[in-house]
Amino acid sequence: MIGHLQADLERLLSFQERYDLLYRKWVRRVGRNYCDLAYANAYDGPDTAVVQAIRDTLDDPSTLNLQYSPYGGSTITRRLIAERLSRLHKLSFQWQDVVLTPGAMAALNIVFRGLKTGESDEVIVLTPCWMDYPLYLVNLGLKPVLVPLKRGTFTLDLSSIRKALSPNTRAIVFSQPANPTGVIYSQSELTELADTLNNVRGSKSPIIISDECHREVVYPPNVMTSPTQCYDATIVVYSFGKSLLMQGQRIGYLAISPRFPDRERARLSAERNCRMMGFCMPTALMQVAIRQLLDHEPSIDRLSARRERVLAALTFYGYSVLPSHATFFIYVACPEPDDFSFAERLASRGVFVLPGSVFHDPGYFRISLTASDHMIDSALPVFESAMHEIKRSSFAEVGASEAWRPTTTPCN
Amino acid sequence: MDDVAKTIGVFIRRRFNVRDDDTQFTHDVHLWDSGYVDSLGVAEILGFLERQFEVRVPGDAMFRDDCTSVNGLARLVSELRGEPELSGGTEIPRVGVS
Repeated sequence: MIGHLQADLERLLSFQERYDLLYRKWVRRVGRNYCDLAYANAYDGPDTAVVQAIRDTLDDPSTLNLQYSPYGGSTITRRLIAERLSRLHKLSFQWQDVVLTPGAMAALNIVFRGLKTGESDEVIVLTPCWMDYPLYLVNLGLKPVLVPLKRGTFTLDLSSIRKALSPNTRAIVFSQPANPTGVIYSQSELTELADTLNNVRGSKSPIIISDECHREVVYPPNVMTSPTQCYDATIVVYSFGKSLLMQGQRIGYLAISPRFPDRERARLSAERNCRMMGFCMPTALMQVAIRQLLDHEPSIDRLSARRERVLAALTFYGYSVLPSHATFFIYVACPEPDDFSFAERLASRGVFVLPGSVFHDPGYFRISLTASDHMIDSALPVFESAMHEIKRSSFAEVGASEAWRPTTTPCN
Repeated sequence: MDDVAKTIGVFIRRRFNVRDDDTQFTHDVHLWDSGYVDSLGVAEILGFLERQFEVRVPGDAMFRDDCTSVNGLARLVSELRGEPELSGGTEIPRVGVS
């Protein structure tokens, strides 16, 4: 027998699979009206420098560039990333602190696997969250404890986090900046979280797993603080897919804070898990190509202009929009009770957005700004007409939009 | 030996992506433990030494404890050439690799 999954996994898989059914149903029907605001595929493509770096690697006469690399990845690339992290975080990362992975998904699996001590290991997951943190945890035999962020601001709810902590808590995982909300947690919030975790009694303090995939997509004047600045037991996971706009090339890493307690053991665990899990090595091509691209940053100006335009338009149409600080995403309260129904309403007219249920947060939807300008142009009237329809219908007064309102002007 | 060390240092900077502003990269730093050269790099360095300095490096020479730094490799080359040992500097010229 193959393919049997426990009920928890079936449920966690179901949200995106339900959306994919919806997506496939409509994507063929809408034809040229297709506007993909759901997934963060960069329709403008990567910068030429990114493509050139890959070409240069292929053209390099070194015969061993495309051969096996050690578990943990190419030493040279690990050193260069450690140097960059040292400059970025003002900490002395060494090359052994960095383990290369095929994107952040594998990095998360490696770190989660390393948390296992027994049958009752728990990990706090702040929701809404990137969709598959809970799925990975359950798959690895860990228990995800979902703790909602504060309604309205989507900032850390430290009171709820304190209540969720137990002697079995091994870690807390969140993205900084946050996907899907686009919020950046402030240094004071992170410091307070660190104090909370340091005060855990009866067991070792839980670690922070900081998913920093969107670190380079921060809209000025906002700045991002890494939890490594506030808490010693932090592991960063990262993917180059966002900053280089090449999400399918699967190259990323995990980085262990130089101040991590039992740093050597954490390094060994990460390298061993690369081997044990069997799928956690990036291609040799990308391990070498990425060396040229470590300081490359995406064009924030174009994204920023797109973000301001969409925020202003949706607010004008009557949507309650969270004024994001970072990421490719805009997070919006769903104007009708069922976020899947709303997503299908839009999809039937060619506009694809991801329902909040996929992020374990029903009642919202996420827009990705990586679509082309043409797609954005085509999508905005659809958002407007959908809102008009809903306002005219009996759903008008009961949507999740009543749950919160933006606290600042959308274009800040 | 200083010239030999400088030449080896420049090669390592170029071939193994050592940044111009990397102040940790000295003639005495452990090339392997510090991640400047990977395991496959042993063969590349060996080939470079033989081509550049026209010496024949014995098979076990690269595994000597004193062959883990630029200065150590420069001493090896000097020995193979039959030159007297000189003191080595710690500055490595920068070659525009970043």
